[in-house]
Amino acid sequence: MSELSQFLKQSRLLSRDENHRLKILKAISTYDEKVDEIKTGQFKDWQQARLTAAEIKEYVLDHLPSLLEEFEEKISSRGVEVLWARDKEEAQKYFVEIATRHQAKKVVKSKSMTTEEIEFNELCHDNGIEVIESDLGELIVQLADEKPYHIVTPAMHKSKAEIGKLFQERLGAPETDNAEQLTMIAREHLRKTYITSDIGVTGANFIVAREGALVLTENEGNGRLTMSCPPIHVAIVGIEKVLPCLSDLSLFLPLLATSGTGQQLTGYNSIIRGPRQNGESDGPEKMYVILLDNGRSKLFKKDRFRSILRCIRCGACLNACPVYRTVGGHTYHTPYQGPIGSVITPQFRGMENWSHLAFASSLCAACSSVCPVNINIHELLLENRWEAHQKSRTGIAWNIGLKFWAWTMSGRLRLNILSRMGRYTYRLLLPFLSHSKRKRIPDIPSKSFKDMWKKYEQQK
Amino acid sequence: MNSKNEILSRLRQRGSPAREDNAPQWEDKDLFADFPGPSDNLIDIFSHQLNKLSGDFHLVNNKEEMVKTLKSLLEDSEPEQCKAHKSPLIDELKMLGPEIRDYLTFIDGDEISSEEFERLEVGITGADCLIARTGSILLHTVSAGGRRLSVLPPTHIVIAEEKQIVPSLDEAFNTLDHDQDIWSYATIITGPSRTSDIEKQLVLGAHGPKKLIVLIIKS
Repeated sequence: MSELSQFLKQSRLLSRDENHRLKILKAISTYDEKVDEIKTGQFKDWQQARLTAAEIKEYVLDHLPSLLEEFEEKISSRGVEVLWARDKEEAQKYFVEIATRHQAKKVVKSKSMTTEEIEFNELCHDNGIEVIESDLGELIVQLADEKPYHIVTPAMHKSKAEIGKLFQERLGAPETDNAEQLTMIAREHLRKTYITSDIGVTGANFIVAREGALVLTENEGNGRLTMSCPPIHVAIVGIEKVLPCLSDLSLFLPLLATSGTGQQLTGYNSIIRGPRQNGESDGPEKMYVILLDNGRSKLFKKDRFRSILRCIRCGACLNACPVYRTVGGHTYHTPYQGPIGSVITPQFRGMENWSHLAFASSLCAACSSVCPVNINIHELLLENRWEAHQKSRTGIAWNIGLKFWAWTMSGRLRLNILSRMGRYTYRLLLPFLSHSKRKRIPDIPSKSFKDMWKKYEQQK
Repeated sequence: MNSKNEILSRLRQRGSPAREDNAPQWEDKDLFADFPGPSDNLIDIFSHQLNKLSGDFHLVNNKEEMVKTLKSLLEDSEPEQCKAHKSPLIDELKMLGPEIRDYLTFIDGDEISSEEFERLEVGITGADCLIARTGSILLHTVSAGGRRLSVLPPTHIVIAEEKQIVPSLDEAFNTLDHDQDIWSYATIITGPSRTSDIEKQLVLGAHGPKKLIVLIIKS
C-alpha cells in the first residue's frame, strides 16, 4: 500500500474511533493546563524568550560547521570518539562496528528520536543484539510491538487498562490498572537490565560547542542509569542540536521543559563531557558520539527551510495540531509526527511518497503560535505544497480549474453569477448529499452574505 | 571525500551570508518572572519549590543539629545499606557524630560493582550548588562521588550549606564554568525521579530515587 493510501485509510479509521479520541483529548488537555500555568508562572515575557531562543539558534545555524568542529575537538580531548554519519546506513554501520568491537550482546537504550530515525531496534534485532527500551513510554510501545505515538509521550494512546494487560502478557506481572503499580512493575523489570547491559545508548537534546558536552533531558532517571552503569556509552545525535555554550542552557532547558511537558525544569538535565576520567569513581570506560546528518544538511541550500533546523523536538506543535489530535500519531507512519513531521519528512525522505503529509493540515497556524523557537511551521507546510505541486506531472485539470477559479473570483459580476449558480445546484443536490452517514450537511440559508450585508447597510 | 568533510561542506553552502558574528546576548531578568513564593529569601524560595516537587527539605542551625537530623532520617535503614561521598562537610559530620559513623561509609577510592550499588537503600552526597528558582540541585561526578551513588539507591540525601544556594540556573552554570575539576558528568536534579507516561498521571520513583531529601546547614 502506498504511504498516501495508508494515511487515508488510517485517518478514516481513527478519526471515527471515539475511544481513541477521548484518550488523546484527555492527555492533551492535561498537558495544556500544565503548560499554561508554567508559561505564565516561569516567564516574564514568553514571546521575548522564544524570539531570543530563535535568534540563538539562527546564530548556531550560521556558524554550524565551526561550532561542530569546536565540539569535536573539545570532547575528543577527553577520550570520546566522534563519528560523522551522512545517513541512516552509515550510522547503522558505525554502531554495528562498535558492538562487534566490544562484543556486545545486550543494549539498554534511553528515549531518543535519532534512534527511531535510523531504525535502531530493527538493526539490533538483525544483528542478534538484544535491545531494551528503558523509558517507560518507550518500553510500553516496544512490548506492544508498536512505534512511538508521539515524539515526547510515546504511549499516549494506551490506557492504564491496556498497559496492565500488556504487562501481564509480556512480563508476567500481576493484573492491575493502577498507574503507580504499573510504573513499579517497569522499575523492577528494568533495574537489573542497566547493570547487565554491555552498551548504553542515548540521544541528546543539545550539543554544547564551547565546553564540548552533550545534554540529556529526562524525568525518570533511565537516561542517567543508561549513561552510568554499562561500560560503553554511545550517543546518537542530530547535527542541528548545537548551542554555543553552557550558559545558553539557562534559557533552553526551561523553554524545552515548558513546551515539552509543562514543567519548570525536567527532573534530570545531565551534562556529559566524556567517559570516566582519571580520579572519577565510576562511569563508562569508553564513549562514542555519532553525529547524524541524514538529510539535515540538504536543507542548508534552501534558505526558506533552514529555520526548521531550529527545532528542539518539544512536541508542542503535535499537541496543538487539530489534524494530529484527530488522526493520531501512528497514521503519519514516520518517526516525527504532526506538523514538524509533515515539514521534515517530505524534505528528508522525498516528495514522491510523502508530500501528502504537507496537505494533511488546515494551515490554521496553531503549530507556529506554540513553537518555542518561533518557527513558522505552517508556512513551511505551504512551501512543501508548492514544491510538491512543481514536481507533480499530473494536475493539468487542477491547473485549469484554479485558473478558472481565479478568473471568476476577480470580477464582482462573475462571482455573483457563480455563487448564485452554486446555491441552486447545491439545493438540487442536497437530498442526495444528506444521505452521507457521518456528516450532516447544513441547509443553505435563504439569503446570501452579500444580500444580508446589503440589508444591514440599508438599516444602518 | 570522507563523511565529515562532505557534511561540513554541505553546511557551508548556503544561500545567504551569515548575519551576526557574535552570539545574541540576553539578560535573565528580562525573560524570566520574578521569584515565585512568599518571600525573596533564597532558602524560602528553594524550600518552597522543592516541596512543590515532592522533595523533602530540612534546615538546621549547626553541624550538631545536622548529625541529629541525619540520624533520625537514617534510623530505619541498616548501616550497610547506606553509602556516602567523602566531601569535606560530610567528613566533618562523621567525625562529629559517632552515632552516624557506620552509616557514612565512603565509596571514594573503592571499586564498587553496580550490583552492590543496586542493593543500597541510601546514597548521601554533597552538591555544587542549589538553584532557588527551580528548587534544583546541581552536582557533578567529582563533587558527588561519581554517577551511580546519586541515582541507583532509592533514596538520595543531599547535604549542603546555605551559601551554596544561587538564585537562578544562569548563576549555577557560572559556578560550573569556573570549575577546574575534570568531571565527565554533571546533572541538575529537580525533584525525585518521576514519570507521567501512563495517562499523564504523575508517579514518583520511575527509575531513579523515589525520595529526594535535602539538608541545609545555615551559614
